[in-house]
Amino acid sequence: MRTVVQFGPQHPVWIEPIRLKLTLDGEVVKDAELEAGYVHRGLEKKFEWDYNKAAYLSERVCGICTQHHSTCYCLAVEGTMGLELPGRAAIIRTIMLELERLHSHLLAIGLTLEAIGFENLFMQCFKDRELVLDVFERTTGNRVLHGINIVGGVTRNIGPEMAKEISGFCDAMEKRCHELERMVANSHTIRQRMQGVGVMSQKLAEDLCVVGPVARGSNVPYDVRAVAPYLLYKELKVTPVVEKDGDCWARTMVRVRELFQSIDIIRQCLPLVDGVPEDLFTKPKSMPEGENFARVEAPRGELFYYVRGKKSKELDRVKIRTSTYANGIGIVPLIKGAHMADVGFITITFDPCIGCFDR
Amino acid sequence: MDMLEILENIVKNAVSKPYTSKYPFSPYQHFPGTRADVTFDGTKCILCGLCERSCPAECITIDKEKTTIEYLNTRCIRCGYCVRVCPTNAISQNEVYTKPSREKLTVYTLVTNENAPIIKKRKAEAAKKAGEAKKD
Repeated sequence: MRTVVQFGPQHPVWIEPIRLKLTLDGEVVKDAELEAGYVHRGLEKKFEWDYNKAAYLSERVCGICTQHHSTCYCLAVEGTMGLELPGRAAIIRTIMLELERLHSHLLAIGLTLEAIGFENLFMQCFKDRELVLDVFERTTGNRVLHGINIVGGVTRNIGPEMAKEISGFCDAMEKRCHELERMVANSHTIRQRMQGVGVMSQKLAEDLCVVGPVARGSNVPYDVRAVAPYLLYKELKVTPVVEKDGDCWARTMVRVRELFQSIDIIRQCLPLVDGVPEDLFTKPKSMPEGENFARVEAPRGELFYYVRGKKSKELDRVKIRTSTYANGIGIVPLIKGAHMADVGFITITFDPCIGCFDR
Repeated sequence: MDMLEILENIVKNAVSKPYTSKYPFSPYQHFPGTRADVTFDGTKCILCGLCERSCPAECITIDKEKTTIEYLNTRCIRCGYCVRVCPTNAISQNEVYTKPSREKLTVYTLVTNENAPIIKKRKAEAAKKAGEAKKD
């Protein structure tokens, strides 16, 4: 006998609304249907206004990777104007992007652990994440919506004192991340729960074109920072973190290992701050004209912004393809054949951000 | 072995002081440089309206007739764009947030700057009228 269970839109495992219609045969999921669109805000239409204000709007697309959204938008608009970014602004943007990745991954790891019932380590993750948010408040003036990216540069500087502070933070953070890695990687219980659950094969990942940690967990070395470098990544050389198994464990371990990669990139960027001229901002000399796109590696994968200007202050069209939208297609094939108890857990390892997903 | 470490962590957390703060009762300490509420200086403003046009949240309204600035505190997103564009540095950003409230908390600021074009013009007109009245 088959039973139909409505999983969501309000479910404790996701904070945001998304609905899964599951057809169960006993405990096993036979068929699944994904329904999204509960938090659609029509943001792409709203982007057709003053391009300076839209930089603040782009931060509001996603609540976790705000810096990635605004950087990607600014890169796209700067491309339509042929604007050259000052060296210092590029360094500051890169540091902020990596800090953002740190706190986003800590959140994702924490939520994954909470989904399997490991609340103590979840609290530990969030306690560590608070350190990153403190650095954000010191440098940008706000914890989540930083608002330092504008078309043409950044608004706040990172001086030598702040660089020293961030380097101290990197040392403290690395110690804590090592502790977290040891606890996650050595725990027999976590391993037993995660390994072999929700396996995405390399072929499936390539067929569905999933991005970010989901793809890298399935042995697909796709990272925009390595494939199409932007900002400082052209000089820094990033090698994608790859795991072979493709299960929930692999996806989580990719995130854990990327924490160290991010800390390493911040450490490489900090000494560069010293020898660069002080200007943070180039004034745009023309209006956005023609079309352009930019790609950025957000914590959840590739983020894409397409911008078309009409030689006035207002933009003609902005199209956003978020990383969660690209990954959303992978949820259903993984759920089919899984147990009912694993459904929430498998979806949370995708790091779903429904605010991005629906826009 | 690893469970023992986690157990140690649990015991440490149970004994130590709580990491979280009781927010509404004990205030949250912001770092210096935090972007919070915006205040307008009526003695410096020239009523140019640049902040009104640049505000992404549309929370500033400038009334040139009454020479007042209307600032909707609860609507402001604290982006700091108005502070950056102001030609006379009349807008400054505080480091203290307003506490949660049920009211709309709209702030009105009266502009008294002598150099504001509208006020200057009005004064000149008033002086002219007064001069004419004296002649009569």
